[in-house]
Amino acid sequence: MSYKSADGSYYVFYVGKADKSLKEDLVSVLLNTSNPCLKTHLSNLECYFRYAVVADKEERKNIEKTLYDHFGGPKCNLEIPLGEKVSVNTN
Amino acid sequence: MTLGIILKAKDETIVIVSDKRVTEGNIAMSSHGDVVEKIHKVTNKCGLTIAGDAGTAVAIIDPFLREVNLELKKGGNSDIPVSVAADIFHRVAVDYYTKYFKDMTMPEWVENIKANNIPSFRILLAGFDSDEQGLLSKPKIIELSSIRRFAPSAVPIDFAAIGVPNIARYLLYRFYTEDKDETVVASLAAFCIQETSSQDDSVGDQFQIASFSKDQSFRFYSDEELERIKIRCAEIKTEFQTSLFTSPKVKEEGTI
Repeated sequence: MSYKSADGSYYVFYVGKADKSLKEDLVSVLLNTSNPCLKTHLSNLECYFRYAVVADKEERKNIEKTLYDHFGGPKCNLEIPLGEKVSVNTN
Repeated sequence: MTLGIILKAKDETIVIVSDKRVTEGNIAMSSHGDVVEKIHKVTNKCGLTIAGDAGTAVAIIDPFLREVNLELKKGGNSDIPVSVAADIFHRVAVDYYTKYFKDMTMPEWVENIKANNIPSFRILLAGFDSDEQGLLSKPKIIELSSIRRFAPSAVPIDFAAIGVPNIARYLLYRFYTEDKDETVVASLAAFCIQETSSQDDSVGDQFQIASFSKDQSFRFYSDEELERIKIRCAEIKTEFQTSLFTSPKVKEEGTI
């Protein structure tokens, strides 16, 4: 997830995964999150998200960890995800 | 009431920020349309902001600007030192009060202001003084208040706030540094206004911003620039709020 900054750039503040597809109700799940950092960002800023459907559970975990490291540990990830570094298209 | 702030930024830039709410004493009169202009251009290198009885302030600002223009024409200059502008404002304001509220001794004057028998307001005036060669020198902020019979009072630090200044003063003393870019300084001042507005209905959350420097003439921020400042305020607020949450910490392995 990212927000649009005053400088025109988009900054990533959260990387996450879910065990099943949340495509339809992702927004309502995010709005009801118990993560206070996510809530604050969603309430204060213009936020965006990108997602990919990854069927394999282990692969999801590794991608989450890889993206977490790639984005320098987004501040709303309140726990450091476990997993291994894998090849991910971050663009 | 209101909140007006003047700050110095990097490269001797002066930034003026004010809310736009109309109030009657402490009662908000325009919460559904904060549209009052409380920042006034004096010259290309001088500006002011007002707090208090806006009607009286504007009634004095109009002849003050005429006097300033006369002074500019007389000297054949495009700018005047801010100290000269302050002296002109003092003279025009005292003339106005004397004309409409009679000649008063200083104790009478103060007593009448405190008792709300005569209107009360203050202004922050900012610009540049001139050096021995008549060139614009350091930026300067001057406060003129009805309670002090509009005697010019130089602000000894690099920012000043009038109106409802307490929250702004706390934030500015904590986080302001004059070596920052104009945008950073303007965003902090706008944040001060939004935070004060969140706690005090007499200050509006809509604001206007103007700036000028030796190289850049007085100008008001465009709507687009103000929108960017508002986004920056939301970012600052988010930074403050999220700084209170626990973030992941990585333990150092082994011994140091």
